[in-house]
Amino acid sequence: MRVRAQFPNLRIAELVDRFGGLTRDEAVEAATQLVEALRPQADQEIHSAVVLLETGITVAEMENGSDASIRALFPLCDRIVTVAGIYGYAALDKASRSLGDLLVGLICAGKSDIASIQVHVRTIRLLALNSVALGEEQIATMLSELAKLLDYHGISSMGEPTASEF
Amino acid sequence: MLRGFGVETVLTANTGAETKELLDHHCPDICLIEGELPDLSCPGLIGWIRHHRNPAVHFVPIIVMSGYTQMRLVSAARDGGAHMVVRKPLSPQTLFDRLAWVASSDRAFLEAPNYVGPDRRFHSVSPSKEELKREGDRLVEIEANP
Repeated sequence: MRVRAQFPNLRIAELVDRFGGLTRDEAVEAATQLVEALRPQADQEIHSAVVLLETGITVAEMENGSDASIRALFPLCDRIVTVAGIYGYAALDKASRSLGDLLVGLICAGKSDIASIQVHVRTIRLLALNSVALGEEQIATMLSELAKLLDYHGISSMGEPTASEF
Repeated sequence: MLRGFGVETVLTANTGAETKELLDHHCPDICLIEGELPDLSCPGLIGWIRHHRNPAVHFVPIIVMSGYTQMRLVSAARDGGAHMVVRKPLSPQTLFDRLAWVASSDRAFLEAPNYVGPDRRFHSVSPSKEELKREGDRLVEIEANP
């Protein structure tokens, strides 16, 4: 089998090597400010994703937890994990991540426990943008109950939000 | 985030078809691709890019952004010819460091009958076995830890 190996000159490599650009800290600081300016839109994004999740649950119930109806919740869960993670909504991040673990775990095991999903979605609703005033202790209790659900199903977490790469 | 890094031109596309249309008329310095596209599989789009007739597009560094529930995409995107898969959420620090790594790494670009893309075999592992160390290094360690 013939394999050709090349080392092409990439323009981005030349740009990185060029002297006179922003430092890493300056670039990160500028990006952080721009991201922060989008917080209102991000909050709205979370709100609409939660509404769609609730609709999705109703559909999943009507379809007796069909594979397709549970898979349809994946992108909504991803949207909440992404925005909550970027904007530092720690409790919401953990709850939505737990929902992601649950959905993937249920699909992999060929199960459809709508009740467990519903508990997650209701928790997400409560945690989303402080829709209800909750103390730290109450939040910790809610999150530990979600963890118990994952334990009950024998589902492990996919991990922390650090980038997985190769 | 990219604008914060000083990137002047950011082209965005909402679908795989729009991406192809853009790449037929522009040569980006880097491509950030969502793991899930509405009309095309991510590996399918990467494969299309890797067989593009324009060398500037053909060799372009590709970073795939995977959602939390899409980790199964990692191997598919890697085998499709992506440089890196990162999992969202992405902080500005993480994105900057990944971009810098992709830009500065000197991985070979391979063209084989069943694969076109950056060399997937790379490691940055330090020697761990004692017998592989140079005699001088062992002496320094012994002196430092008597």
